[in-house]
Amino acid sequence: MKFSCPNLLRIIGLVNTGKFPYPIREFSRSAEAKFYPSLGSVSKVNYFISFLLTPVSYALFTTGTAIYSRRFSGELKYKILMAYFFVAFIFALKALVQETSGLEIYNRLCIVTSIGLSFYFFQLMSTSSQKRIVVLLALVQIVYHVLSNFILADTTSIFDSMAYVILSTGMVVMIFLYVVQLLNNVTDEPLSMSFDFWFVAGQLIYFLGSFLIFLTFDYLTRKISPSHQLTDSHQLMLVWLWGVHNVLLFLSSLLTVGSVLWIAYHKKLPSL
Amino acid sequence: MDSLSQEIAIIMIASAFFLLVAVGLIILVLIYQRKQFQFALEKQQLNSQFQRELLATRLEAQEETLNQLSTELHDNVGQLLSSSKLLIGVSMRGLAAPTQELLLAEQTVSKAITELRSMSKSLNKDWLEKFNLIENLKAEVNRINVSKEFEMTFQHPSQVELSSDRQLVLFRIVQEAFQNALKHSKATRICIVMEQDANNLNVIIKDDGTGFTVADSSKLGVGIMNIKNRTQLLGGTVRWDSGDSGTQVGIQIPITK
Repeated sequence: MKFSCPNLLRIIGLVNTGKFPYPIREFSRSAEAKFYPSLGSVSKVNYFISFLLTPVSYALFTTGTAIYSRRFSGELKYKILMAYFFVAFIFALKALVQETSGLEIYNRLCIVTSIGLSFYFFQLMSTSSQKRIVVLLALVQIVYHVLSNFILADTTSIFDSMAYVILSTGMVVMIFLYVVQLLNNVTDEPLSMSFDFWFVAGQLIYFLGSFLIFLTFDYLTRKISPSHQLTDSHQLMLVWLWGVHNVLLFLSSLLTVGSVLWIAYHKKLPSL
Repeated sequence: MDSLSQEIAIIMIASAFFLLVAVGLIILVLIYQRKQFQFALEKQQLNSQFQRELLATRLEAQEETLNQLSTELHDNVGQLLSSSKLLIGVSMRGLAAPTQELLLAEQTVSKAITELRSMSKSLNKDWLEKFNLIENLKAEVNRINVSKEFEMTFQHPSQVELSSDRQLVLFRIVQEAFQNALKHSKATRICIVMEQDANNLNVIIKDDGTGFTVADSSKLGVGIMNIKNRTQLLGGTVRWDSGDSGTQVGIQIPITK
């Protein structure tokens, strides 16, 4: 894909250009939203998939990890995971209802995700070399976030594509480390009864499936700015593209909750 | 189609491809792990079978040793004692009035011969195979009750549904269990209860001795290990409950017809 942006900073989203994911209140004010004049006509289904599905998914994640942490394992990693998903749920709700662009919230969510999931993977790894790689990847993500959000540029009104790309890459590497660990060790219990496996599988679906969306989203949002004079249908296509990302997140959350129910069913616990 | 639409279409297709890669990888890991799991299970089963065969061979060797010991006791020590008894008898006949000591010596040697024969029988595999478990245990109980130092009772069904070689192994287990009670627990009463249902044969050996703690169990180490190994060989389970009022050994053996 050919990037039209003249410099690296524009490509990686460090300039103030597009505004996406876009808060629904701004969508509803079609007259005020000069860049997106007709997005008020987004259908209910599209609205649900592209906007509401994010908090719904995080709510499911929170529920799944809370049940697992409470009923099956009180390990710290599950408690941290539950806390992270609850924070993510609050962030997603806040981005949905606030007046201004919710992009800075999405950017903050990225760093929270880095910390939350990196801690989980750190606990999941069994060897010190794997743990070192996880720490290194987490540091890269955190350093980039600090630089891009607080030192080099103001990213409150852009979608920080590069931050999400670094996050996705880091998570996919951590997932591969876990897969290698799985293949090298045979456990007493079938893999289908492992919460960690299904949770990580969900994360792989989400981060690998959304990788290209993250990579190109800033570039695409800049393309629908007024200078390019694109039509409403183009903007709607972009909304749908974000919807695809949300569907992947939702699938991941379903896998997590589904795994907890599956484990509960097979272990025949009296109630959830 | 304009350039943006094309770009989005390409992103969608590429994302779908990435998604397929992710799903494919998950399925591959699941299949691989399942095969690994099955392989490990088979390996474990083979190992377990090997251990059972090893144990069986060891017990067979042990039985053979006991058999030889039994033969030696009967043919060698038994003959020597019989000769001694004969010589005492000859001496007694040569005397007008045999001394009290000589009479006592004759009685002691007779008792030793009876004990030796009984012990030799309980060690002899061929002799044991001629009788069933209940008969052999009854003989053991009688042998111990004769000493009048212990009171031993035995409750049992009319017959047990076990093959003769399994009965022999179970006999050795019970023998080991009450020998432990006799040697270590200072018990005066020992009770053996044998019950049989459709699936299992349950044996309980209970004594009124001092009991033992985990720390003391090292003294009984070999005996306990033998009981555990033999029970494992029969595919059964064994548990000890010990306290101030005595020890109870519970053995459960599955009945395989």
